[in-house]
Order: sequence, then structure tokens, then C-alpha cells
Amino acid sequence: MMNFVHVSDTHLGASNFKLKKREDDFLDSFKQVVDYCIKEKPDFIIHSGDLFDKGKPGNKVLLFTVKQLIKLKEKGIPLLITPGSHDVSVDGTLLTILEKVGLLTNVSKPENYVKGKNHVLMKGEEAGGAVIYGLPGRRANIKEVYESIKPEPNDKFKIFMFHHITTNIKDTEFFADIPLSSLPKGMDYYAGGHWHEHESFSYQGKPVVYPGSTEYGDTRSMERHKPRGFIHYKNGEPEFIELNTRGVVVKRVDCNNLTPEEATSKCLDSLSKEGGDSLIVLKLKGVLSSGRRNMIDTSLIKKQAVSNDYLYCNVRLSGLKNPSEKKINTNSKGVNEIEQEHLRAKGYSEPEVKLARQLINLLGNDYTPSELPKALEKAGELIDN
Amino acid sequence: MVVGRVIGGSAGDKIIIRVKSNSDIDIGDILIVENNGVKYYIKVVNTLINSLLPNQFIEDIAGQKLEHDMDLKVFDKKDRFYRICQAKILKVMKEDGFYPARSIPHYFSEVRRANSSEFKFLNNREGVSIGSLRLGMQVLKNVNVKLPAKELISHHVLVSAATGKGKSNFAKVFVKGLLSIDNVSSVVIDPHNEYYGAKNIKGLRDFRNKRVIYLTPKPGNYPGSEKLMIYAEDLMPGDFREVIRASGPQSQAMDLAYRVYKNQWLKQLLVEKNISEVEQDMKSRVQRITIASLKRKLNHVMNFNPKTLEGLIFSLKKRSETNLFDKIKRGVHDGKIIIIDTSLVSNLVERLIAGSIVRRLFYLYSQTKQLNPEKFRSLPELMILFEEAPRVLGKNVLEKGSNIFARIAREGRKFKVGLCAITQMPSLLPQEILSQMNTKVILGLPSPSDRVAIINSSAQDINDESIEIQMMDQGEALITSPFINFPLPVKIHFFDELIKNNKSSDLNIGIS
Repeated sequence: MMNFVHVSDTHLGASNFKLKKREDDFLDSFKQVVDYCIKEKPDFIIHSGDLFDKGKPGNKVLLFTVKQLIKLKEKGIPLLITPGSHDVSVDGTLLTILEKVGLLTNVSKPENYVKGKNHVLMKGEEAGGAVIYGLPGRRANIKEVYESIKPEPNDKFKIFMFHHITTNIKDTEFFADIPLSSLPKGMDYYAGGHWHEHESFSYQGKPVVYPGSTEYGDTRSMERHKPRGFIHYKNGEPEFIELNTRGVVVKRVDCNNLTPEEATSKCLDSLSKEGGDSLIVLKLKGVLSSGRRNMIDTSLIKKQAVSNDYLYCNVRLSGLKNPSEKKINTNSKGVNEIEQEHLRAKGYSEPEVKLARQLINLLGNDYTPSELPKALEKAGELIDN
Repeated sequence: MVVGRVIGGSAGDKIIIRVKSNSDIDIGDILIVENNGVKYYIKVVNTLINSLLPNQFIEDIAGQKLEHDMDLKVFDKKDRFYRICQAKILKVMKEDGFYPARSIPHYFSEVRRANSSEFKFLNNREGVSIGSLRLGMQVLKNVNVKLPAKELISHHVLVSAATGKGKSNFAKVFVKGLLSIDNVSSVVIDPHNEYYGAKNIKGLRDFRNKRVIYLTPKPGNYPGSEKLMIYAEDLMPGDFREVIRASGPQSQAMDLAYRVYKNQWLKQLLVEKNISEVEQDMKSRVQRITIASLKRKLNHVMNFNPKTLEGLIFSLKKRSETNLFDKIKRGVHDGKIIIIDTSLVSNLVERLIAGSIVRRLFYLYSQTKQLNPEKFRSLPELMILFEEAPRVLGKNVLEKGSNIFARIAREGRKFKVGLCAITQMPSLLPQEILSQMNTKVILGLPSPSDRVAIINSSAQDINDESIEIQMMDQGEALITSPFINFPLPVKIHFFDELIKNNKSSDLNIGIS
């Protein structure tokens, strides 16, 4: 029976909020995968791309990666990878160097694609009784590439690694690359990468699995907070193994009808006394009763979060509206009316609204640089009067 | 081969070289001086003759030859009469790369010609091949100059040259080169229908590459050729604002019409409703004269047949196919090279088409970066290529109000969107825009004002190259960029030759 681990999108070298500890988190997730493999002894590991976050990672990240790969090599667990979009720099991929020193196998090296008259013969690499094919995260002519490839026939358990998003996955918007039907037929396991959330479905009765990334790459993914992990395929079934990633707390703070000071205070109250070194994302909602949302003291909230033992606090104000942004029904209204209503909603008096209208009419025109001083002079007169 | 010896100079200015008697040194030659373990790359910017004899004697000898036809033989002539050249230091190469020159070679250091291998750094593996290195009069055909396309694109490229010097040829060579680079995309606004190719014009269609999409009002049977048709229901008031020079009230009337009629606003305004009905629908918030002049302006741009409700480009009919803008967004995401043929439409319509496409693409990139950073990173670098840049970026245009092209020039690099602007007259562009165009491809520019504009805004000092720029022949270019080590003199590939030498449009799959 096949026994292998499938991991993807480890993005070693990535970070969030420019925090060194977050960079360490990405490395730690990968270490957890390696340690799991050393303990569970799968026959091989496949990686569906984006081992690194940048084509040329820093020395620290590279040294860490080499140490982990040496651990695998010493335990006789081969790692096979197809380069992702982030593994490539202007002068090729670092994976080639790691392959040259025997730490991994790049299944997508150029010699594995033999161009024929009407198609490209895709050769695989053998490991643990399986043959592993792959397509790297290139984007150019992607549909034509999928149409042209034909896997070299083989009787063994066939795995196809790819670094593209299939259109059947929800929420991909227009970022999906290929329809599911583009995948080469006749494989026993389809190992996807590039999509950062765990997904699995079937294609022609065989599993198509995206393990997802091993850490949260941005605040959006933290908010969605789908678990991060990898796949252990054994006994004919893919099992999702969840990684122990840093805690992420996403809290909605209802600031409706609060002043900025009250909202700041509510945010401070929403912080737990013991943050446990986790990340916290505060999503502020509602409409403030007065002031502006930029009057909320985010730096105080962040400082308090750190002193409460959170690693970092991200305060998101995009869902919070200023009092003037109460919804105005714009249907069938002229621009002048909408602007006046908007100004009244902000609490301006009638003479002020009238002055604002005069200024908008005066300054809302396109002026050439030579005309502009005159217009500004007129505006000054209006204000003085 | 030793061609001279250093006899003076300063690091901040030029070094002076005495030239060996039998060596041919031209302005533009790049030479090498090795001294104290470092290698100086120097470029000849001037040559002159000199002598050890006092001027009085030289004048005397010349007089004797002229007036008495005397055949005077000068003792040790080679030693006493010689050439001097002035050269500027381009960069200093140490073990780990290039550095600015902070030192100068010593007296009598040997000056020699560079080997081809000393330019191998130009053969950037993932770059776009644009031509061969040109040293003075000589073209080193075995030194292939490749530009780092991705960096160049998002930091904007300006291609400037007088008519006939090879602007369009360069642009076609560059766009063709993008076909072999992964994760880049380009939208080419083509007012002369020369990028895709046509009868008697070679173009990208000759490469039969499926990365090329050609949108034209008159599609043919070529691969990637599709009909350029924009449905009115997909256009927004903002698409017209910069084009029809709408007054304040007209602009507000468009906004109001969009709110009242939704995406049917153009159809209702132009066909379905008369002025009184529109006035009524807008609850008399807009004056009749404003509605009338707005209708006239919009009709002038849209130019459709009132019976068929279609024009060459625009249609008021209900759309039954994919939105053109979505098709282009999809193509950009997939790394396609999208050529928009605007050769059959007026300048006004071209600006409407280009502006509406470019605005949507810029917002796609800027919003994705803000809302979905992970996905933003997977978007390809995007290059917007357009000819006759002063039409949208000229001083006189921008004085009347900014536009999406100027915004991209200022902000685009944060969002991986870059411009490739082509112009005959860079002096018409404001200094602010010129400075944003970090890479400049300079072909022959005889006009002093254009040369000054380019030289003053270049990423590298090319003050000494003014004469070279003036005299460059067709296809000869000088390229300045923060992404190359020094200003590169290049003989640009001839596009038609690339087609002849094109083997096939092989799919490039593997990565090493």
C-alpha cells in the first residue's frame, strides 16, 4: 500500500507584519512536517510547489531548509517537488542546486518533457513504488501545456503534481487557472498546489487534493482561518494532518453608535488578559456616533495587546463607518442634493452647507494652472464673506 | 590586445589615455583597464590628436608641406605624434559584481579591448533578448543583450526616437521577447495595426504563438484573432469623462443617468428617450441644454448606426457573449499578450477604448493588492504599451486634468503595472513623468530639446553621450536603466529577421 506525505506552499522565508517571529512560524510549520515524517516514516514526500517564498531566499532560510532536508535524507525519505511560482528567480530555481547535492528531486526539470510531433511526453520520477509526474507553476500558455502533455505510460501508482488552481474550487474568483478536466487522465492521485486552503474532491474517481499552505500568508486568510496542514496518504486514503500553528484570534468589535474613545476602550476590553503569544485581528464594525475612525487609538490597542502577551494585534477599520457615511439614498437624486444631504448628515449648518455648495461649484471645474489662482482668490472671498 | 595606456584623469570625470599608433579607437568603444585587482569598464567619449612637439614646430611643418610641397620625414614619428582619447568609467568590476567607480587606475595602466566573455553578464537568462552589443562602429553579434523584463516593466519604459529610427521595431522585438518570459502580460494599444501583422507587415502573428490575442474590429482567420466589440452596457460614466471633456454639469448628468437607468444608461440616453423624457426621468435636476450637448458628445464618440444599433466598435444591443473587459482581464491573468487594433478608429475613440481597458486593469491590480495580497502575488507583471505618448501624457494634456496613464506612471510600480510609452518627442512630456520612466530606450534623436529632456531624466549619467545619441543610425540604441549596470549601446534585432530565425513556438515547460 502506498504511504506518502503530500505537502505544499510552505513559503519558507515568508512573514506577516514584518515580524521575525512570523518568519520563524513558517519555518516551524515545515519543521513539524519533517519531524512528523521522521516519526511516521512515509516512503516518500511530495511537495506541490512554493517551497520558498522567494526565488532567492536569505541565507538563514536556506540554511534552515538544508538542515531539514538533510534530516530527511539521513532517514532515507526522498522528497520530490515541482517548482511553484515562488521558487523561480530570474536565473532559474534554487531547487536545481538542492537536487544537485542530493537533497530533493525536481520532477519538473526540462529533461522530463520530451517534445514529440503532436504532444510532449511527460516523464516521471520513481519513488517508493510510485511514479511521480509534475507540472511547475508556469503560467504562460498554460492551457496549451495541459493539452499537449502525455504522461509516459507506467504500471505503477501514478501521482501527478501541479501548481495551478482548478476552476471548480469556490472563492477563487478569476484566479483559477485551469478547468478540472484539463488534468491528465489515468492518474491515481492528483497533488495540487498554489491554492492555500485545504480542498479535496475527486476526478475520474481519483482524489484531487490541495493540502493548502502550511501557514497563514495574509490577514484575509487569518480571518477565514481554515486549518493549515498537510496530507498523509496511507491505506488508500488521504488524511489531512493539521499543523500546530500559532493561535490566531479574529474578533468582531461592534462599535455602532460609539465615539472613537469608546470604541478604543471597547477594543482594549476585548483583548484577553493572556494573549498566549497569539495573533489577534480586531474587525471593527458599525457606524461611529461622532468623530472619525482614524481617531481610534490603534497604537494604544497594539501596545496593550503586546503587554497582554499577544504577539501582534491587527486593527481593521475598513468595516467601520464614520458618522457622515450613513447611507444616503442616491437613487433619482441629483449630485447637488446628495452632496447637501451628505453635509447635513455631517452636522453642518445651513449657511455652511450653502457655502460648501458655492465652493464646490467654483472649485469643481478643471482649471489650467494660469486660471487656478483666480479661482482660489474667488474662493477666499466667498469664505471671508 | 593592448590599445593604450592611462596617462591621467580623475574618478569623477574622465580618464585620459594615450592610444597605440596602430589601434582604431572610436567614440562609443568600451575598453577594459585592469589595475590593483579590479577591472574598470570604460567608454570612449572623445578622441583627439596630440604631439610632443611645440605647436610652433607643428605649424611650421604643416606650412612647409602646404606651401613648398616638402616631404618632411619626422624622426620617431609614432612617438611624437599620437592620439589621445577621453573615456568615462562606466563601472568597476570586483570579484562579487559591479560597483560605481570610487578609484582610478594608475599611470601607464594597460588599456585593452574587452573580450566577448566580459559581457556575458548581459546574457540574463530570464531576460528579453533585444539585440547585440554595439561598441563604437562595431557590433558584437555574439554578445546578446538581454534586459531583465519583469523589473523593467513595472518601473516603466520610454522608447524615444525620431521618425524612421526604429521605435516600432524595438517595441515589436521587446513584446516578442515577452513571449518567452513566464508570468508577464502585456496590453498593446496599436494605432497602426503593425504589432500583430497584416498584409506586407510582419508581426507577432508570424510566430503562431498562442499567447497572443488580437482584438480587432475586423478579425481574420489568424490564431488568436477576435472581434473587438464593446457593448454600451459595459461602459460607465467614468470611461467618458476624460475623453469627451465633459463639463461639470455634463459629468453630473452622466452620473445621474447611470443611477437612474443603471447599465442601460447609454441606450436610454442615446436611443430610447428624447430630451424631455430624460429630463423627466431625472426629475428636472439637469437642464435640457446639458442633456442635449451630452447626447451630442456621446453620439459623436459612439458613432453607431441608429438602425442596427451597432458601430465599428460599439454596440447598444444586449450583450450575448463574454464582456470584453472580463476577457481582457482573464487574458492578463493567463499571461497573454493582448493587441488592441485601434487603426480604424479616431483618436477620441482610441482614447475611450484604451482608457476604459487600462482603468479596469489598474483597478483589478490595485484592489487585488489591497483585498487579497496572496492572490496579488500570483498576478503577472503587466505592461501597457502605447504609441505617441504625448497624446495622453503630454504637458498640455495633463495641464487640463490627470488621467489613468499618468496615475499608472506615478503609482503603477506598487501594483506591478507598468507603461511602455513610445514617442518621437520626449520633450513634450513633463519632467515628472519622464523621471518616472526609469528605463529609457533611446534611438537616434536629432532634436537638441528632446536630447536634453531625455538626458536630464535618465537613471544614469549620459551627458557625454549626447553626440552619440544625435548620430545613432537606424536600429542603434542607447539604453539607460537602474536595472542594468551602465548605459548599454545596442544594435536592436531587426524584427523581420527574428521571424526568419524563429524555429518553432515550442512550449517551454520544465524549470531548472
